[in-house]
Amino acid sequence: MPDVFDLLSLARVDTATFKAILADERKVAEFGLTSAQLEAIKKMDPNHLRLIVDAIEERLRVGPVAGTNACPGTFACIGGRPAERIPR
Amino acid sequence: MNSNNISDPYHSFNLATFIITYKCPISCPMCFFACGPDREEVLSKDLALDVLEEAKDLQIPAIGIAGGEPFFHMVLMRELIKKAASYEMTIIVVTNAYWATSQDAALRKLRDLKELGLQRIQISLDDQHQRSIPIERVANAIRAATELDFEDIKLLGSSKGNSEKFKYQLLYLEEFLAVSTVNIDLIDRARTSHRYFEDQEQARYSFDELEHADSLGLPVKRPGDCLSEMMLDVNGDVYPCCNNFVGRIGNVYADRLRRILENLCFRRYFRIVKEDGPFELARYLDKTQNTNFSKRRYGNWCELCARMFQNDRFRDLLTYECPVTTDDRADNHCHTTPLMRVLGGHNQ
Repeated sequence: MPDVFDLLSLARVDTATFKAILADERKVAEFGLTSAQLEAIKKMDPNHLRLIVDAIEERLRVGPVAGTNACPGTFACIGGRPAERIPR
Repeated sequence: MNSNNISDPYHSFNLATFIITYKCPISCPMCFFACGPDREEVLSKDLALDVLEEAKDLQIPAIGIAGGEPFFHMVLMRELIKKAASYEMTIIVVTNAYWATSQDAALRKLRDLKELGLQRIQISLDDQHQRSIPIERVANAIRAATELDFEDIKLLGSSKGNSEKFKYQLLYLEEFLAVSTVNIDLIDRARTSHRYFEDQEQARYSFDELEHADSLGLPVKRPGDCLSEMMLDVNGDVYPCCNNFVGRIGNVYADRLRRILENLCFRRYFRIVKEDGPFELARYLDKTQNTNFSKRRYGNWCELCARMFQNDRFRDLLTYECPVTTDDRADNHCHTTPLMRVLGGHNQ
């Protein structure tokens, strides 16, 4: 079953579909949103969302994952700031 | 860290993780230990404290407390934290935050642990966990840890299918739950699990590409210093890595931890992986054991290691001895034996 995160993903990658879903109560129900979530999503600006997710992507990109899906192996789990230890 | 011991020559472990229970409110398919609500295994308190003391004497500077879900066993976790703090060790707890049912509940739990000496916390955030654990609980735990000024807070994303959703979970935390993650490290866990063999999408690199990833400029990195974390499993098994895919090196019900680590000097295959990584070992096994590790494709180094040691024939390979001289044993020192001599000494 899709969830709120899937809907947020749609808001970024397919804004037209996202808006169509929000306009259709039956389709919205498929995402299992609470009323508070729905209200918050309706108020959200997709452009703002895009900026935030872009920034998150960048953090993940320069972090220990660096697109490899590999264990960071840098003892990032113990401490320090892994993003600073991994060269871009 | 206080220790009466001199610098220990036997190992280079920086972290000892205690898997204190397999019990967990959820069963994630990528879980290393197949934990879940029906699992009742718990690490013995006496054993845990005994191993902790040994770890201190062996100058391992940090411990992790994980599971399963360690908050199911608060008494044991509290004892470990208290003792490790008295040894001035760094302490990390890994949790899914199921217990953070409210801001107050989160504060109460974490304040108690912080007063005992806990400084660092890692919280799972991924598709699998969030199917059962409301993300609001993750938010409560983060807010509480932030308010209590924990030294280090990390969010652990994970595994298969997570790469896209993780971003939106973080977005949700930031924008909907008003939890700033700016000062929180984001770590995507390795894509290894008991099911990873089925996950062909990650098998992107040939053996040669993986071995020469740096010079080829491939976006896959060597996992730091191999075999420098150790893990104590609920059943007493000791692994020289952060997971149980790699081969065991011993069991603390059968041997003292010190003895297990001392013996690593004489464990031929441990030394090969430690000194040269998993590639030499894979080639050697292909040559002598009719395997085809060097012909396969992999997502990362860890996967290569996991594939080798998941094979039942090689499960205990790291406990095999290599030829050593009397002098080696006499002065308790690991003289490096040239790799090919070690390999050549094997006769199967």
